[in-house]
Amino acid sequence: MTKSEFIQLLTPHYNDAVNYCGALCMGSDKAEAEDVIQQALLKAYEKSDTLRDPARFRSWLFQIITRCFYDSVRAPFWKRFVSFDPAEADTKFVVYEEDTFSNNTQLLTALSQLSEKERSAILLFEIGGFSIKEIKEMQNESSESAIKSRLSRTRTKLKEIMVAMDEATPSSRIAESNPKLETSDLYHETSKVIHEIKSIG
Amino acid sequence: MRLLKLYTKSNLLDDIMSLSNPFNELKSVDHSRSLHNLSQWLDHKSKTPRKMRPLYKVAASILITGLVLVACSIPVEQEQEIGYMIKGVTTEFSPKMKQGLEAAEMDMNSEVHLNVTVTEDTEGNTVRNAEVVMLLPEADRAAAEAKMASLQKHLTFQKLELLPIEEEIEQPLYEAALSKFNLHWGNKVSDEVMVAKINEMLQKNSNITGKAEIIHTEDGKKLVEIRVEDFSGDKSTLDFIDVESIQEIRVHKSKNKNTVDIQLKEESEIELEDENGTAHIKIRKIKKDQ
Repeated sequence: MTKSEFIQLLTPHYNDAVNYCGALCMGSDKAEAEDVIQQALLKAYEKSDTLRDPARFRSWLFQIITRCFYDSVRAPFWKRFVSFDPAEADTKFVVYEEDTFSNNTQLLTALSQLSEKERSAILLFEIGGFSIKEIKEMQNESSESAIKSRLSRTRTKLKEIMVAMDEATPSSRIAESNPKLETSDLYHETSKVIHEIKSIG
Repeated sequence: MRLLKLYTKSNLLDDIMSLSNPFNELKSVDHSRSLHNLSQWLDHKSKTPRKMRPLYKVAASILITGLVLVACSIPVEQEQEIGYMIKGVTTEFSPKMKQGLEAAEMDMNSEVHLNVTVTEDTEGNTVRNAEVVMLLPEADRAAAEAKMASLQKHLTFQKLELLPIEEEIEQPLYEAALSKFNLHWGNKVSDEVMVAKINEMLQKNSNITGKAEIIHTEDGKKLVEIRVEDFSGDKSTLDFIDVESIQEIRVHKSKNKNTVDIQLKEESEIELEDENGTAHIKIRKIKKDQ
């Protein structure tokens, strides 16, 4: 596959792939996310000849990103022995800016508290738009029900973390000038009721 | 309780809070600007494979080599078998016991220790038991087993077991792995351990069949004597480390009928060479007509 063909295939999926990788690497620093996406794109380009069905490019690319992410989590020590090529600075390829995800800090912080598999599953579903069956194959699971329960569990966990984060910053909420109830307020109150019911139980 | 059931059946959080909004926001972050540089970057990166820094390569090699050397010289404790002990309980006493032990060719003066116990059974009868301990220093397992079988043949034992006599020694890992023996230990370990170690070395590291013995001379010298029973090949080599700590090594040929074809001239034929602290005992086969 030529470079232009690869970029042509990549372009419609590029944004989602980069966002997926950025959110997946939450918990690590920006450089880590940058490294993972660069490695994944390079690997995808170098191995693009092995892709038989271009229609499966999206899932193939997301799978490569996921693998690169797992590799980066497993072997950070050996990365110290890999050189930084000074010539690289001449060819700038910076994917993530400092303020890339500044609008989604709450969700991203909550994501960073999930396990790698949970994070990957929810992001493949929400950002990648993959079906349960596709996620099952990408995560090498034996049944779709395992993915379904993982997604359900992860959603609940995410919400609980986000509520806890809200509770931890009450001053910012009081300071809000608009006194009318918003969805998050209602959610906040409901979570409190649930906690009380739990404690009674 | 009803409230709890209601809670477990429906997730109220799910009904109120939807995660689709924050995820949609995340999805909408635009990265098209970086896509423009991708083509040039791919060109550059695919041509230059990532390499390990030479400095790190050297550092890693030194580190790994150092670790291997350190790991090899770490002293390890080993249990060295220096002989065997046969322990048995019998109700047979002299003269039957004496006859049995003599028939089994046991040296009553040095090898056998007796311990008689008198107990009372549930009916009030006196029961006399003799615990017989037979020490077989410098014996290998096969010889000890043969002795045990002979004893079993001549005496009736309630219980009879063969136990190894062990002594703990400490030596570097590489010496233990290569079955090398440091003669310098002559001052640290007992003669029994030293003999057992040399015999083990003869068995594992050379084609010499023989037995070692430690001799203390009147003038305070310590001699290692190796009695060669047989050897195969033209040349037999035995490696010792640190030969300087031992004053003399003698190798003798025993009266073994199986070695008729092998003639060792005299002690002059046995050379002791010291190469970088390693002693080689060289034994050459001499033809009869020479």
